[in-house]
Amino acid sequence: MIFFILLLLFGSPALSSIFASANKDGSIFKTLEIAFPIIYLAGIFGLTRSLINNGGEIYYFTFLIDKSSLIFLYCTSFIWLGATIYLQRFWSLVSQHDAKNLKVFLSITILLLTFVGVSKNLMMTLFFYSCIILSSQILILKFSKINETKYLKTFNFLLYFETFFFFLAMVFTYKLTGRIDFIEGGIIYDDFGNDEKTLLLIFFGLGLFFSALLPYHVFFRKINFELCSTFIFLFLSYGLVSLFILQKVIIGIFGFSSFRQFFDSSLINIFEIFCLGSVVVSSVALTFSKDLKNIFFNLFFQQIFLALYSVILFGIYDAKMISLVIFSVSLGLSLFFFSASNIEANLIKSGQIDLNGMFHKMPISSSLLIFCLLSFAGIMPTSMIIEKFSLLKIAINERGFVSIALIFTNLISLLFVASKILIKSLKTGVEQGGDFSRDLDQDSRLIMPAILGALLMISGMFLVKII
Amino acid sequence: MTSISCFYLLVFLPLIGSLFCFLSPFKKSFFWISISSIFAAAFLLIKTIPSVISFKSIGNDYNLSLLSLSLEFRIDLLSITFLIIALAAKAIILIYYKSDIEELLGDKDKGKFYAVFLINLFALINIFTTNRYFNLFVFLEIYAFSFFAISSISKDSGLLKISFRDFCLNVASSILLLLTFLVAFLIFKSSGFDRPISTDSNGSNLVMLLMLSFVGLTVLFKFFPIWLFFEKMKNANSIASYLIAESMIIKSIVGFFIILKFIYFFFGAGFVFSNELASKIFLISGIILVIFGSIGVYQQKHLQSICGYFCLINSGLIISAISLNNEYSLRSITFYLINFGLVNLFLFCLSSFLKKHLDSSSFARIWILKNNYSFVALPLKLSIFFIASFPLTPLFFGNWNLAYAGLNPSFDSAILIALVVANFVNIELSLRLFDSLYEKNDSPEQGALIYLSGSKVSFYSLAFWSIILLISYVTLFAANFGHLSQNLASYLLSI
Repeated sequence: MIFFILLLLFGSPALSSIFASANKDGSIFKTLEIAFPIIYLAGIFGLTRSLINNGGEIYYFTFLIDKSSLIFLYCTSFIWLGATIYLQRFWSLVSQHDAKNLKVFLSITILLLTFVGVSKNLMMTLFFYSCIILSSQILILKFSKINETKYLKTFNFLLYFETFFFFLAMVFTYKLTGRIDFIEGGIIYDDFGNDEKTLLLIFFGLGLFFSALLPYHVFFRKINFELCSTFIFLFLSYGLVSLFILQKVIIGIFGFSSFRQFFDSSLINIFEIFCLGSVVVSSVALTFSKDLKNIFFNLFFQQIFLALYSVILFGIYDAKMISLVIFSVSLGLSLFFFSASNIEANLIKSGQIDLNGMFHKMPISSSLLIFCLLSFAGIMPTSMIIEKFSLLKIAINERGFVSIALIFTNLISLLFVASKILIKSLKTGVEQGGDFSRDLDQDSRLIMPAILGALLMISGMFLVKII
Repeated sequence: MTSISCFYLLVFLPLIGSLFCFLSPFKKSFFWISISSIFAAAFLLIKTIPSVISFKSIGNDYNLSLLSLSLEFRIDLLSITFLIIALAAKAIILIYYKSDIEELLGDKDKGKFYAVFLINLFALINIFTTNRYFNLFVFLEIYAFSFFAISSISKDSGLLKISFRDFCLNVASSILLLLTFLVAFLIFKSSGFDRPISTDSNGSNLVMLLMLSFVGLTVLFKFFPIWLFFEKMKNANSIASYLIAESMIIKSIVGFFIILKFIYFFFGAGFVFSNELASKIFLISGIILVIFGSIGVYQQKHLQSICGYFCLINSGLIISAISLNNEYSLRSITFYLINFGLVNLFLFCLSSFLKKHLDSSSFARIWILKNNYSFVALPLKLSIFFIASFPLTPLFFGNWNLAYAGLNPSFDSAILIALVVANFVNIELSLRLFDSLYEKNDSPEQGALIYLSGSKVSFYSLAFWSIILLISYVTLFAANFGHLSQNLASYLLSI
């Protein structure tokens, strides 16, 4: 049974990429395009049932399925299904010359993410992570504009270099423990020295976030990524998968008890200061962003650093909350992408350069955009409010000023950006939008993924115990 | 008995083939005789592997009697590992450059070329399997002479001058080697590699250090004269490419074998690594070689020159692995050799192709190749996995074992510098290859056409695909090669 489910999970994105590369426009192909993510989701439902029947853990060949990988697969499934439905409709309204290649790349990324999600050991994880980076190179070469290519090439080069640190982490893990498998409870024993564990964590940290370590993107002023590029390349192929691997390393390599014990206060202090610095730089860049593309780009970096911080802190103080981070950040950024793309498409078609009066032209998309930003700030009734609240509780009880400053920097910057967008979009006296604005805003296939994302985020508040 | 008779067939087959090539009127059979000799030798070696693993070494010794030169041998894990890789590389080089060589030679000279080639092969096999100093010296000389004879067919005055220089250096180093063997025979009463001379209390450390320096110089000038051929790297002459490939790959493999043979079987690892300073110097020289090669790769824009620097990097990593002298570092040598002998060779063959048919082996030409003959260019896309040391590739396992050996709180961890630098360069090269295959370019020459005849397209497709499939085979059966490397490491450490 597991074999067939896994076959569905691997087969559907693989077949989707093959069909996408055929580049046919018939109704059968369009139906199949949406059918594949649905089959994928059905496979995950089947996997959930099998997981419950098997007591929460399945080892099959070189694959491991547990609760954290299941949540990751659900998030991936939502992203794929939502993006497919959305982009299919979006590209019929706003022509994209390389849509076929983007579809192929998206399917391949989903396939590789699935492999990473169910990898049983560090070797397979590294292999598929390297494949994701390699396929990202194609995206860079084919889709990026000249101004962005230099930044993307630098970023991708650092990503490859990152894999070397991950490789060193893997070798070091093997040297310490004699194995590289992910095991519930971890494989690093308590009697290993703190120095060794610290070095191992540094290797893993550099191996997953080296390329985002320094905010060198602020020096590339001319970059102005398309929303789709940021979403697929930066978020899906890098941010989401790195966060998930880090979570898996904490759960399966270190184990919560070992992780909690060796992470002494001096190390957390250094880590906090680093995260605070990164979040402050991203937040400043976010507040000075001029358009939606820049906002999304800087929002991504801000939220990834915050998510990294959350994963580490929850790993130490509140293990139950760790999976919520992946859930929240993937839904949140997806929601932002869907709603911002609608607005951006309207801006391009109408020739408008700012968001003035946008709320009157596209009320649903604008509302969802504001909702998303406020959710990230932690003041909307979504799973993120639970996450931010837990984080604040830990910051006040266990940590100190730096953590609190970090959370409030996030809050203030997002409130500022949200209010800036709200004020502009509520401006009256601006020329009313035509049919196109209304069509975009009320098109069910464009709005449905965003609304579904928002609903999932709200329901996440009630499903925290399951997540 | 079967193993011994297999071995004699292994040794004498090329010699018989050589005689046939000299005398036979059937011109078309020369190539097939040569290639069959290589394949037969490889087959016989693979057949002998189980015996060698269980007995550690198989030998027949006549202890310097008259029969010794022709009938003495010792084949162990070290010689079998190196010989298989050397034979694989030799076969690839011969097949790839066959048409270029035969185009240059007339019918009259073809027989002579293949005859000398087979003598070269005969000498190569004996270098790896002999156990006596004098025999080793003789076969090294035969190898050098035959290489010089092969280089004379190039009819390129520049290349002939370089070959002559190489030959002169070879002669000088042979004198040093002969002196070393004489001292070993006279002072240490040793005539073979049965036991290291450091176990004998007769000689002084000073004498042994002097011998060590002689051997070091010999190895450097005899087997690593790559710098001599660097200026000819960009030569469009296919014979030059053939000779450079032989010099860069095969000679280097022989060189590494000689280094290991002398360290473990002649001097003794205990003597060589007893001095911590000497070990550190050895390690540092390996790291410097890696850094120097990496800078070279980074600066170069031509694939052919990059291959030369890649060989330097691989050499540096192997030397560093030897200097660490522990189980995991010695295990890495097998994988680095496979990478050296197959992946680097593939890149060099491809660069020769670009040089010959597109006038330059620069990266820009790769796009033209891909545009015109995508099936021929496809193996290059696959090779990116091997160059970038993706998990499960030979380079990955080499790096794994070396990193494992170096992750110690001691000076050994300096090896990580070499690994970081080498990895940096591997990534850079794979990205450059990737860009040249996928990046759109509006320059006029990107639309250039090249024309190859149907037979040439088939030949090059088959050649490149065969090499890539061979490397993939090694990757798929990495576990088996892992066992081989483990056995080799244990064997060397047990000496």
